[in-house]
Amino acid sequence: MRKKPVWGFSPNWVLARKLKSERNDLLSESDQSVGAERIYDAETGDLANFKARLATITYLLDRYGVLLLVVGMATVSFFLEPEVFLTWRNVSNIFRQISFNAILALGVFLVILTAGIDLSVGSILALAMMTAAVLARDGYPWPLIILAPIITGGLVGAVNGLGLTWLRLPHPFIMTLGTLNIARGLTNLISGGVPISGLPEPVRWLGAGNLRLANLDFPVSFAVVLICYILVSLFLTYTRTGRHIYAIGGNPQAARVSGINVDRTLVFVYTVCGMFAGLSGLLLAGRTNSGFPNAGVGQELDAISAVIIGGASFFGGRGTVLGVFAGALVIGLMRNILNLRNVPVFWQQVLIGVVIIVVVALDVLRRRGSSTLR
Amino acid sequence: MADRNGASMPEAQMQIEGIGLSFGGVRALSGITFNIYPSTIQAIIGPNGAGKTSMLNCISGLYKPQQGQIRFEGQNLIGRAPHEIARLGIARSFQNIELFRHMTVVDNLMLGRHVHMRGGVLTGGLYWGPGQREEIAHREAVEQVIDLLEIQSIRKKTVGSLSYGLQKRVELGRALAMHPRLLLLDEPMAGMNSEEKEDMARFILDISEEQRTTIVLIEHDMGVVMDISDNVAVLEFGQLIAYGTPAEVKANPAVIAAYLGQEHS
Repeated sequence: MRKKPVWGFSPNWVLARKLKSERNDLLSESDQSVGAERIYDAETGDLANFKARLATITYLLDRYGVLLLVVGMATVSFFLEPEVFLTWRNVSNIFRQISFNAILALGVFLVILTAGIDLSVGSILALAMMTAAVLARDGYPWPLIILAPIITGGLVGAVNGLGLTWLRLPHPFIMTLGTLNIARGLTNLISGGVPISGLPEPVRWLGAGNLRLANLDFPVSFAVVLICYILVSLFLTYTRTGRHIYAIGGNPQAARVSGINVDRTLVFVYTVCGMFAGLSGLLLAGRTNSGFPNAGVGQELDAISAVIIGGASFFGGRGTVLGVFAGALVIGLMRNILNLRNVPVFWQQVLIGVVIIVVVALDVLRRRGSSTLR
Repeated sequence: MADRNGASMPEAQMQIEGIGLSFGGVRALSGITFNIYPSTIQAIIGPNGAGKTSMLNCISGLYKPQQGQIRFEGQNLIGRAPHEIARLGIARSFQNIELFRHMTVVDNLMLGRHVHMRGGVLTGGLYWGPGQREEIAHREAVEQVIDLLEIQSIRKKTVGSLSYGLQKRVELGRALAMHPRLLLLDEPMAGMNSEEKEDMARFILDISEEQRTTIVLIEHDMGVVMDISDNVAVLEFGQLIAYGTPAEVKANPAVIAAYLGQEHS
């Protein structure tokens, strides 16, 4: 029983005040799903209380379990490397490192919410990055260089969405597998297959610059991440289209007959996912001050990993922005501590694979546990 | 043909004319023609595979028939997408429950209200403005449906955790929350015990009487069909073999041979 973000525009207590009838008590603050259960089972006594308490724990774990994982990893990391880990330099480094994967993951999260998949984001990232580098080489003004990667990403994303809905391809896996190759090929075509370096100052500031906050250097790219996450979170909770995205992933058939334009929403979601991939490419271009044709190879899998570790259902309709953020942090923290401990990069890959399997296995176990409680 | 109150028939709300549907050479429906009248309960019966669900799918836009016309309140439905048809005021439930399983009951019903929400991204963002007023109005409509279907105690439960019978009821609620003018119900009582069936029959009659919603009902329980419906259409092998009031249909020799007879043999 994963709790969704509160419905619509108003928290429950606002509605409770405005709805006049005797329903007031049913809508009061205690009527969160967990609380309601407690009221409902009250007559059956101790056992019910115990169950309700267990349900509360399950609910909290469900909602914040992945944050627990983040805190746990941070604690372990701190004890392993007390000198280095909690220095601001290291922390801001982690933030900077996870930025571009976090943005990719955010777009992929929206797609996975609709029970889809986008394999092309790694290639879109490279294409967007190369677009920026080529435009910079040819001397175009910097505002265009900032916009062009995002637009490029959005265009490829729109092609994904239109291919999926117009051509009626059986699964987004196929369409995005196609564009994975197309975008990578285009990247090599426009660059001649070689890296291009040199980007204007504002782009480098976005990717590698710092904001001065209370004597600490805060990475600009991470600020971009935070803004995007907050915007998407608000969008999913407070807008019609946001709710439709959850609905389509939950049950496309029911969504259709409820009057939701499923095709249009899907095109929108894939377009937004492409735009985030483009933004991610822009940040990476700024950070490396270049565009290179092999950027982001396999990166789509890291983005998907972050979404899955963050607790989103691969079958759509379930997941939170906060979870995805934590998922991206988990991967970043793990890479960081393994680097600090000088663990070879190949072992890092093995460990990330293990974490994906363990986290999802725990999720399955927990779900099974919570369903027997009911 | 007369409705339950014995009043004379007004003009048809939906005209189904010569509907023909085939899947790769297999004929599912042919030449189906009948009318559905406002505020009536229209049953569609027939043996398994007769094309009843296909007929509903043609109406709600999930299938596109190759021949014929369906007009709803003067508007042609053929070629319209399911969501457009939903917005015209036609809601439906499915034989196999189709709900948003990870959402609560309230959230499921609220999605039914989305057809009536004006707000796009902008009004949705105006937390304290008209967006909130609209939200409250829709929430009230949902609460009315919850009251009508007597599902107050489960309103905050996740749908996936509910029993089959309750899920069926929530699905009816999701369709009803749209305030449709035509409600298509595909075997709303399938797999229910007699008590649950009785409840469901009562809800259907309540909806019909209180909201004057036209209801098209596929049901196998002949007792229920004969009790609550105003008109009955009988399908067999994709063809309409009889149409009329329950009494007329019950007396029709073709129907007895095709369907009713089998049940008693």
